[in-house]
Amino acid sequence: MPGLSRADNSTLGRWWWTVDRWTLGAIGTLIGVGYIMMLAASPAVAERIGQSRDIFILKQVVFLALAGGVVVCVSLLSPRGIRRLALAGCIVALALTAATLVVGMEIKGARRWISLPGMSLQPSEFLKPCFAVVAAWMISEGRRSPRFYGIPMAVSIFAVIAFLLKSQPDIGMLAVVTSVFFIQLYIGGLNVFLVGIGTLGLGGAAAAAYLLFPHVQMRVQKFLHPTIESAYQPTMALEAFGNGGLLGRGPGEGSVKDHLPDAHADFVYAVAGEEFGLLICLAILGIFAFIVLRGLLRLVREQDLFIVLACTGLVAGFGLQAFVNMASSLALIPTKGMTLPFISYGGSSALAVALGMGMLLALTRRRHHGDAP
Amino acid sequence: MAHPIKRETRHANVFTRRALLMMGGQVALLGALAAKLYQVQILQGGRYATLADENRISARLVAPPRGRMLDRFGVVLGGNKINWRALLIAEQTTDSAATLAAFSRIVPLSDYEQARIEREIHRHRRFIPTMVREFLSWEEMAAIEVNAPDLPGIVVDVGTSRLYPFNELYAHLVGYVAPPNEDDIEDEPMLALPGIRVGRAGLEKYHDDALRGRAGAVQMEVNAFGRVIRELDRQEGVPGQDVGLTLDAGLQQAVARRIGEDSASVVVMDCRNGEVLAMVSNPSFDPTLFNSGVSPAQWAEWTRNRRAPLINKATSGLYAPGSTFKMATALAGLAAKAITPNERISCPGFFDLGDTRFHCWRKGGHGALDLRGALKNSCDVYFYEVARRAGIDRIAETSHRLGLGVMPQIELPGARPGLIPTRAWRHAQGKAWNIGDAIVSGIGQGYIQVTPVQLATYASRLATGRMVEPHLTRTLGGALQLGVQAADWPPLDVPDRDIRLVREGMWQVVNEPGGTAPQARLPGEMRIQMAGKTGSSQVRRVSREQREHGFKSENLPWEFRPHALFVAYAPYDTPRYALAVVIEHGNAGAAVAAPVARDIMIETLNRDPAGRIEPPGAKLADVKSRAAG
Repeated sequence: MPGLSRADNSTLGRWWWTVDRWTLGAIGTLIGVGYIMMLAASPAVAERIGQSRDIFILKQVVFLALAGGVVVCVSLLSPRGIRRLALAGCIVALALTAATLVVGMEIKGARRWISLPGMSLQPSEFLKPCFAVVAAWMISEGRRSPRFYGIPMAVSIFAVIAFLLKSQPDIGMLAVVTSVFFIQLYIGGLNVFLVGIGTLGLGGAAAAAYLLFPHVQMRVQKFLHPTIESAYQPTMALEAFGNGGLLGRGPGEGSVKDHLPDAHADFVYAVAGEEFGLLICLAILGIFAFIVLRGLLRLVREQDLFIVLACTGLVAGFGLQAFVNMASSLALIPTKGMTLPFISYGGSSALAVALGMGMLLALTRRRHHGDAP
Repeated sequence: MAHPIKRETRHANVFTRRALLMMGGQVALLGALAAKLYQVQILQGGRYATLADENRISARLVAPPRGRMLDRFGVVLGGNKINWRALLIAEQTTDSAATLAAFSRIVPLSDYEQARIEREIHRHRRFIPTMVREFLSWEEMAAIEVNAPDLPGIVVDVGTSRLYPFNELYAHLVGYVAPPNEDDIEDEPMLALPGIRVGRAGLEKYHDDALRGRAGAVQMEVNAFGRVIRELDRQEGVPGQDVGLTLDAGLQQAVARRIGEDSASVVVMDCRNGEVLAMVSNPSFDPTLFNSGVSPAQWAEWTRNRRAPLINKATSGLYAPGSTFKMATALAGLAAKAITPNERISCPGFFDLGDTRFHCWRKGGHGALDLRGALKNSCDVYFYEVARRAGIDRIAETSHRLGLGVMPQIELPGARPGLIPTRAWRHAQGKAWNIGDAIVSGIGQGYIQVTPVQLATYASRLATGRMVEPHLTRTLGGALQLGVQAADWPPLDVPDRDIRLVREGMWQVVNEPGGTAPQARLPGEMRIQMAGKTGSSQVRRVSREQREHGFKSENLPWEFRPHALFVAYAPYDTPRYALAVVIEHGNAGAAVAAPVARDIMIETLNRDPAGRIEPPGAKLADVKSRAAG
């Protein structure tokens, strides 16, 4: 943004000189990579389902442009504005998530979506960043004034969210939200003893699920002992990475997108691996790592507990989501329907991730001491 | 903010210690990703490239795409489409019934299908896949893939299947394909390839070799499980050739619409070269049903239906030609010099041979008629007399030359030759030839049996004086086949003078007052005249009592009513199109078949398919896109 002098005192001018321009740049790069991957992966998918070749591209161009706008607009807000936005967003998203159980659209056996003209909305995507900020506020407020029952309130909201996500069911999202919440409690200074109990409790729940529910058991067994048929998607994805090698087969030369139903969403990383190779895959990984590590490093100097917790939550959620997607493609963990932020196709995902990143940028803007947090 | 310094210190301590741990965790996770990437893309990628021990090269044949069938303007009558199939491999599941039940919740299976699948599972060995469901939609395919963990033993693969966009309209012509059986595979190993189909009926069967193409070969790297890793080398096979037919899809549709519900058959030909422009046999069946397996109920319905939907009446339906045969009798009489053109024979309404009386259709008789008059009025007595004088062998010889009672050269398996009796034929049966049989043969009854396509050929040969043969193939792989030019066909070798007399008689039938088929006259504004001949052929002898008690064929049960026939060509002076209409048990040729023939001839003349290179009303772009599709 040339032409903004340091003396510029307008909203935009102040924003430009206080915002974390490195992270902003990394986000912009991700959006660019997302656009290129959409060009590579979606025409094959669109053709297969009998749509116009360009339908996904056109939609995603609009979504990515909107996402960029959301990042900038949200990052213009003050920390207090972010808190209000997150609170409102959390309430709306919670209501909509609850609504999916009643009016939700069932796709492939799960009710996660609400059908809107032109797109389907997955409200739980928005719940993730909003809840991270709300939980951060409650935990920090609870520590500041003893009469404010912050942690119990946060835990009860979390319980509602966990129940809704389990009912949809969306175990991948539930795992990410749970991990983020625990990280926040941990960073927020929760007694190590309690953290230990919580961790043990989670482990116990997982073991109980494995022992009690046969289909959970079967999925785990399938993951641990894959056969050619049971592991069709991960095997295809791994072969795609193998075919790609160091430099890839070249843009558009891959074939995995013709074989995997969700090549443009859940397995977009495999398309990248096949067509652009190891170097680009590492570069994408590097950008995610950069955003996460830089976000966390900047907090070292931060004094406000709310901002520390909120940013930690946002960054951890972002990083975990990226990790789950990439690890699924690489068959490190069982396949979970989770998008790769900004790169996978999907309007809800792009806008929700943009909301979270906008909040992160807003909260990490440089402030003078004494500015109201 | 009373104590900013203190707070800062406290948080900084808390944060850095715990945050470092978390950062370490994130770095470990991302590092694991990078390590896995490196392992898959570099370490194992190298393995893919250098063909490690457990990989091997396997050469496979690949099925070439089957050629398409197009009408004369490029409309696809038979093509290919993608076919997703769900297979069940019994050895990969402990409980195939449970798998099927789970599958049924995603893609419902009928009881009939479930019974078939269970039967096949028991019959096959456990590692051989059993077809669960073909023709899955994309949504069904995706739902099965996503729920794969709950469907042990189910695999989805992709093949092609035959597409007949017009369903029953071309069932008897294009025919259908089916998977090859073991005898086929013994003759031609390429047929063992999965997904290949062989023509089982109609043109699919006749042109099977051209449509099939030649298999290509692919060298593939497969791993120890036999899973294909990648393709190393590919030799493209030769795709099957497209077969361009003489048919006009638009005319075919119009003819079918005009026939409506009747059990009937119509053949329209270009009478100059024998190209079949439309051939409809009604009722029909949907050939795409053979792709997915015909249910027993459907099969029983087809085979028990007395209107015989599975039979192509145009080439396999045998009918006594009735009065439409009289042109052949006339030419036989002229050739035998048994009659002269102007000789008059008197018709009192009956014809006595010994003590047997043969009736004319007109109770009071026609009086004295010459040849043209006898054709115009369709006088039975005149032709009884000609048949008596000419003899059956003369009639048979002329009829064969006109295309009746001999196997037509049409490319449809199952076409029948029909029968014109001869003395020799009767003797071969161990019976004596009876002169009465010759008398009724004169009016196309008795032993005589012909098919509608023979009647259309007969009309064409009368119209042009050339031995045209009916055929359906115009191009193979884009190359024009022999027979397009009128000069490709030899002359009929019937004196011009004789054939002209018969044509005049046929003209009078339609266009002169008092002719038997005024219903067939073309509208005056068209300025085109049609020549034709009616026929009503009895399927059952009318007894004397019936005749004396005011017999009316409409009152008979459907299957005993006479067939209604009409043969025609137009324009009269420069013949271009010939047609034959046979309406089963339609009663009267003049009242029932003639109007149908007239309407179809009007449609044919208006469309003029033989005089165009693109269908009427089509924009060039449509034609091209259709040809490409």
